[in-house]
Amino acid sequence: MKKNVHRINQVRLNQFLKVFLMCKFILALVIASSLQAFAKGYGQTIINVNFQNVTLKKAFKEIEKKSDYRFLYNDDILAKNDLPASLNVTNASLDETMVALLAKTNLVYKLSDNNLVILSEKGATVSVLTVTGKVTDDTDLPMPGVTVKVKGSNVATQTDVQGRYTLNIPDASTSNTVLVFSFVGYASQEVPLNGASALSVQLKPASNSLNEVIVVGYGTQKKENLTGSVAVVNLKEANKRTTPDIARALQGQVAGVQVNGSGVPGEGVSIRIRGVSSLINNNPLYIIDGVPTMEPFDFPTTDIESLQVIKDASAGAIYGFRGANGVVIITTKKGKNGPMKINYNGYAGFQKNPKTLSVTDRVGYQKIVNTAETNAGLSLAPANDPSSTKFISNVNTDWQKSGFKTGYTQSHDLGLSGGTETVNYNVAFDYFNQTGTTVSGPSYTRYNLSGNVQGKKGIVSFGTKFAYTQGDYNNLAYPHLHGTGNQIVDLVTAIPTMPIYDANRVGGYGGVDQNTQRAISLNIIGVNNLLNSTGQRNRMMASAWMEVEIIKNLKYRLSGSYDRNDFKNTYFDPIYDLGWFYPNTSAYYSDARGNYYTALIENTLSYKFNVHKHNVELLAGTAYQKDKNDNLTGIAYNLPQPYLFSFDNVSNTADKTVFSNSNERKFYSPIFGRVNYNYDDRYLLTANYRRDGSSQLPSYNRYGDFAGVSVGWNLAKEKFLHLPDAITQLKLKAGYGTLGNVNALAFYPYQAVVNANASYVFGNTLASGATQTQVFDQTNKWEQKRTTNIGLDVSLFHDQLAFSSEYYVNKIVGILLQVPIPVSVGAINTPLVNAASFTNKGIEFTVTYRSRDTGPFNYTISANASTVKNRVTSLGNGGNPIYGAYSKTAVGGEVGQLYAFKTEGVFKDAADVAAHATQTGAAPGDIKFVDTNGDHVINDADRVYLGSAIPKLYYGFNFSANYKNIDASVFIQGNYGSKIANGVYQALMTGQYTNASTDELNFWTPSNTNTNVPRPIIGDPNANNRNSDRFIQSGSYARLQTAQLGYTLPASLLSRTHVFRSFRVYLSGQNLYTITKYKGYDPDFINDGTINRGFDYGSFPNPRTLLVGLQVGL
Amino acid sequence: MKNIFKKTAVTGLVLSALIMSCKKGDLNTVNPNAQTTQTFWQNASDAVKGINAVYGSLIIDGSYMRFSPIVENTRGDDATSYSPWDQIYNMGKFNMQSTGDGVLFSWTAYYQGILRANEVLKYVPAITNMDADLKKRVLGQAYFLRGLYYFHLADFYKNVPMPLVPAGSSTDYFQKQQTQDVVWAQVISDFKAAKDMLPTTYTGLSPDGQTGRATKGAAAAFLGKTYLFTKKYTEAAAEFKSVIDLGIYSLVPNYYDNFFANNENNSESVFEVQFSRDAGGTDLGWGGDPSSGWGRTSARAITFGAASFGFTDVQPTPALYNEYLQEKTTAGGTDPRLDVTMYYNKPGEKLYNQNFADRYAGSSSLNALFCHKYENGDSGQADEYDWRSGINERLMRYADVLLMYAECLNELGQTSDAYQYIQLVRARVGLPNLATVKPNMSQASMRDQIGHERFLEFSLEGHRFDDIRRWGWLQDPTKLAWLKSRDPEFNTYTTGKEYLPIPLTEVQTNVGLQQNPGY
Repeated sequence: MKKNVHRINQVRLNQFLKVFLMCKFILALVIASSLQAFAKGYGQTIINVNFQNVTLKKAFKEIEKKSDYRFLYNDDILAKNDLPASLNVTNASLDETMVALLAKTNLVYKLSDNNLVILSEKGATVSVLTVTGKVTDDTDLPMPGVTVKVKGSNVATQTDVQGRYTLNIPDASTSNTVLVFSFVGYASQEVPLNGASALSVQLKPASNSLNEVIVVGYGTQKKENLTGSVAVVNLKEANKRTTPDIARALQGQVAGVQVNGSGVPGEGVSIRIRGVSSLINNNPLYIIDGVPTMEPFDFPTTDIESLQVIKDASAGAIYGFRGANGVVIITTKKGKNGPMKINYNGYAGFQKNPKTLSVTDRVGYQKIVNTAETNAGLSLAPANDPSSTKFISNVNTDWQKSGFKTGYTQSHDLGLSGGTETVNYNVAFDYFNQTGTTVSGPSYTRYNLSGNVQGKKGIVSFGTKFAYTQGDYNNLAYPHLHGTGNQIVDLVTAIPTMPIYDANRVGGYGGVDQNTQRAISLNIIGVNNLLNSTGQRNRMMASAWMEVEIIKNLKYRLSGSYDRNDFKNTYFDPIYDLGWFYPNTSAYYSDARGNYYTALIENTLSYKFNVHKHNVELLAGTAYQKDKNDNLTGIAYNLPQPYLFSFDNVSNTADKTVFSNSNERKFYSPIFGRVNYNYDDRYLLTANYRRDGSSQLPSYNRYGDFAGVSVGWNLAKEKFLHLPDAITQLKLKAGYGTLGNVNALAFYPYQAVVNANASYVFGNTLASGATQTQVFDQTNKWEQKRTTNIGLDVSLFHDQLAFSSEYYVNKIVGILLQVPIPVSVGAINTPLVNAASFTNKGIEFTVTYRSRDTGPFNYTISANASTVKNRVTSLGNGGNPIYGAYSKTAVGGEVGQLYAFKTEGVFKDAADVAAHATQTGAAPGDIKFVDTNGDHVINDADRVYLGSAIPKLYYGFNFSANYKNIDASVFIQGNYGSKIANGVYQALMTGQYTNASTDELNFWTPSNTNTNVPRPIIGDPNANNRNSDRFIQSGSYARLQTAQLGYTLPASLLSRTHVFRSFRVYLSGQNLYTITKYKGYDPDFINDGTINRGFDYGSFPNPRTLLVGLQVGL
Repeated sequence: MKNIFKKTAVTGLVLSALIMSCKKGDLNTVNPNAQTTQTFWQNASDAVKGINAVYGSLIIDGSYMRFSPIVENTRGDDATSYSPWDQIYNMGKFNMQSTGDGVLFSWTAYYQGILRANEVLKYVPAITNMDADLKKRVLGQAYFLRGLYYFHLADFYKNVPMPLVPAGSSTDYFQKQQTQDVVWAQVISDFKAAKDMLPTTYTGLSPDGQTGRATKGAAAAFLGKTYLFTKKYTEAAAEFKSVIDLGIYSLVPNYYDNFFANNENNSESVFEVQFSRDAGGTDLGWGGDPSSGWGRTSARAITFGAASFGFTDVQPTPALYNEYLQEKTTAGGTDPRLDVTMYYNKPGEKLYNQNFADRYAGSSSLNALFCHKYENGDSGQADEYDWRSGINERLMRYADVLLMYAECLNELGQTSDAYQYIQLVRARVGLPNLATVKPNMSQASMRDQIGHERFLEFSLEGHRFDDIRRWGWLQDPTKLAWLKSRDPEFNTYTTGKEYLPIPLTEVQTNVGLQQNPGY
């Protein structure tokens, strides 16, 4: 009993110590005490010892303890001569003592400098190597008290105040001498000596995450004492995924965070924290160094120092409604005390589409179309009719092969940082470029310059930060007269008999001839080359803060930020002839410019105190935020050639207009507060409150009160529990809170505006028309998200093995939803109403194992998994279901559940058709739809649920290891248990004039009846191609997202250069291999993520990337 | 030094406190970009803008910009579709799915128009500071247009919801489906109200003195047409007679003048949808929230246009071509309406300044029939590919009034009286006197004769399928077989498909709504 208590105390002391040592300013204390230790006992050469029957080793230790002599020996020779030693001497000299001790042994001794006694076997020559060096920490400060030891021996010493050490090594001739440098709280390092006489090392803090200080809203907290649901992202792993977008880097790294994206360069991702919590806007709030934004993608991921994801309301309530979908807190790198450091991080590589869909070539295409026309009783299109003079046999375009290309990506980041006690700075320049994998398709280039300065003088500390980004996008373009299609669908369904180039057509690109080919098919390569759609974002984010410590621990902080985005989007559609349906006879140019900004001022007052073991932190604040949106769009048509993009070149003023502008503002003004309380680090409590007001709500519903409370219990610190030594931390936590949300609302959502452009024309004169074209909901109020969260954090073996698990229930009520209203209302819009309610439940697991940092081989394994179970508990308009693309969302079910017709093969003959339920237009060879409701008629009422679009399980798995200077890592990510409606496959199985999947070649004919592919027939009278289970496929996948192999030049080599601080090269591959049954390009695709979440209609495939990278520190 | 910091801190505190206090009112923002219903509907100008907006719904995709002509024309035996777009291809083949855009466009457009009309009818009566006559005219037009929109809904979709006031709250959104009879009754009521309130002409009126607005004649003609569609021949005849008796309408001498950008709003025009290439922007006003960039043009010409000049989604049938050849003019020539109706390979045929025979030499289009009515092939334009046609769509021609009146007379047993009105139409194109050629027809023969006359006079004008349906031909096996022989698209007609399916989205959202039988 007593022993146990003692042990627990030891563990706690150990932790305590570590915590303190981690803190830099405590170092001074250590230095002071070390000084005392070193000062003691110099010149003590008289020996007074008394021991009986101890080993020689123990005898030497005893002498070392009582005198100033130190012994140097090889364990082997001591073992050979180890006889029990007894000695009782007073005021003896070294010689007297040694003669007595060594009398019966085969050993001799020699006194060296610094009272070092070197033992050797008689007759053996003693070679002693003196190694000197210096040990510094990661900020280049000297580290006193570091143990420097020869591996496998007891030869050891400690560094002095300057971090210097001198070590005399016997038998240094053996080439495999390895020095071990260790210090509590730091990762020990082993460095082979290789005969060198000077060896300096830098120690890095150990990765004991419990001591990490986590940035939470308007403050920080020790990870150990966190009670809310906050995930700390392992940036080292996340950043191995080379991406310009931090949101993308989160994919698979954090339990409970689901990320999906496409391969369009510069396109944002769809990110859901603990499932769908709203229906219009599910994006989390990002707080970049205190500045809130919904657009994190303008900034380089390499500039990030730490990253936390707040998943529940008990932690997120302080951010109010903007954090309703979760909060991602980003802290960027700051300068540290010490001389200037220069860091370069860069990579370059190429990207390719990993998959090609199998589509028909000319012969297959013509066969299908000819059959489809014959089946419809039509004559053959001359271009496909071998008997026609217009038959095409010499064009066989492989659109995927020609439309996709090898793309390139590169990134270069250069940073300077440094500082003094009072001021530090960090400046970085970043360049990113991605050419994309489609010919003349979308690409993205970004330049970023950022910097920050922090300082402290007396009671005032201050800081300022700026970041300026220019992002250049080459966007997807579409002929402006034809709305938007989908480039991927258009590319794969483009017919093989359309040439890519055709010098006879205006513009020089091929098209389809209406009279001979009859197909509508868009030449995407032509579109991408002829049309031009660009976007430019110029983003400036600036912030400054000042903090005054009025009295000790009472701090007032004023911070202001301004985040402004100036954009310019241009679109150009020249004259061309891309064949039937796609000619453009008037060159068109539009130029849209504008800016939007968020200006924010926050005041906070915080006070921290402790009474005995009661630790209390209080925070209160107010904020005022203004969002403003301004834009202006001009268009010109009939542009003269050569095309110049100045409107002045369009001389006819009627051909150019500035046709729209807008000017929108919204305001928020919250007050907020927080209490953090803990008793003896054992009982923890955090409570948050925020009152939000938003101009987007009508005055009677304007304000909302939101609060969260969470509690925690550090069981491992309890004295009355008898936990095994191995348990470093055991914490139970629970939280409950509410959040409001109005992210879905536009600027003036409840104001019934009149559209002044509903005009008509009389004669040739415009007749101004104005009317209310929309319906408005006057009852909008705050969406409420109530989160309940319980969690368990376990950390074993000094945090070598960490496990955490959380169970959450999020109830979201009054979700602002565009509840579809009947078209017969006559409104152009679907008004947002606080209609729906959801429950999201899930479990999240994270487990991490780190090997001990002792040997040359170290590794870390971490895995996370999470589930989301969504249930719709109410929908607007009396619970009327909401239908989406391939989906039906109904009360009691989950959001976006797949919904379509069920099929049961193909009608084999007329009798089969006759025997089946009435199916209009059906003939032998057509798809047989299941009469699910048994009313003997196949109609819309026969559609049924066909699976969940939400994966049952999301997971990520990281493995990273290093052996000596080589490091390797693997990251696997995936999900399990969802279904996808493959819209691209559906488009390839129409049996119409567009190109088809090679699966279509197995179509039904009277002689090919053993098939599930229906007969192709123009017009598709049976609607074989309607949404059905034919196109629903498994969405499960496991993807080798990243594999990386790196080599770091040894410190010993670098120190000789006197130039490089660090130098690492790596080879990295991304999206290397995917296990999936999905027949589309990529089971990781993007769409709205809610109602239509299971429908993939041509999301750009994510590219496979291979790259080499370089990380250099100067 | 420390003082400075303290001062800074205090100043900061005070400043921020000031900022906080003066910004409270900012939460009451007012949209600076648009008027709201609270500031609109205040005066005569607002009333006129309001009624103009109701007309605006005539010229979007689902109405006469594109899809109503497709719905109306493809199903008749005068037109057929080989469009590669199934929404047009299947329309004439009675094979539309309830999920198809082709059935949603018109549903959307007409209900949007009805909302706008309902707004005028709700707000304009309350405007006090406006001329009473102007107010009456504005309201009359609103009734007319609402009647016209419900006419289209009943005609396309049969049993439909029928909102008569703008939705004020979410409970108003879910309007019950009404039977077609109830909708027809509403259409009659609206046209009646319009007839009583509208002037015969707007010439000289202010500020609404524009040609193209709905007149008393238009209201009476459509009221008569509605009676005719509901087989109330006496009432119908009275309305048509009243239009004739107004004495302001007459057939234009040249049949050609009814279908092109010249001679719009002529003496024969009772009501036409106005399009112009010259007003508004150049973006195509498909639908959605109107923008100032929208043009006021029609996409009918490019959609129906001849191969290589337009998309050729709709083409005349050989049956139509052949029927024009049945009867020679008194001068021994071909019925001139043939050449006005279609382009085909005849000696010297030109379209878009090109020779037909040269343009299509060697292709299957050489022997094809292409639409000429409502196309710009004679205008000097090179093709239709800018999508923008300025040709007004004539919804009600005086010729139609005459033939409908004749039909009423025949149905009322006054067959012999019918001749004179039919002959007015025949004489214009030089056909011999019907009383001479086919004297003393029975009522049944006269029905067929009227069918033939209407077929030729109104081909590609969207009336043929209405006629076929209201005459019961689809339920008459002989007639149906005959139609199938003339237009194979009738082969896929099944019972119930004479009406479009109600768009699935409406069936799904407006709970209780019944899909039309047959779907």
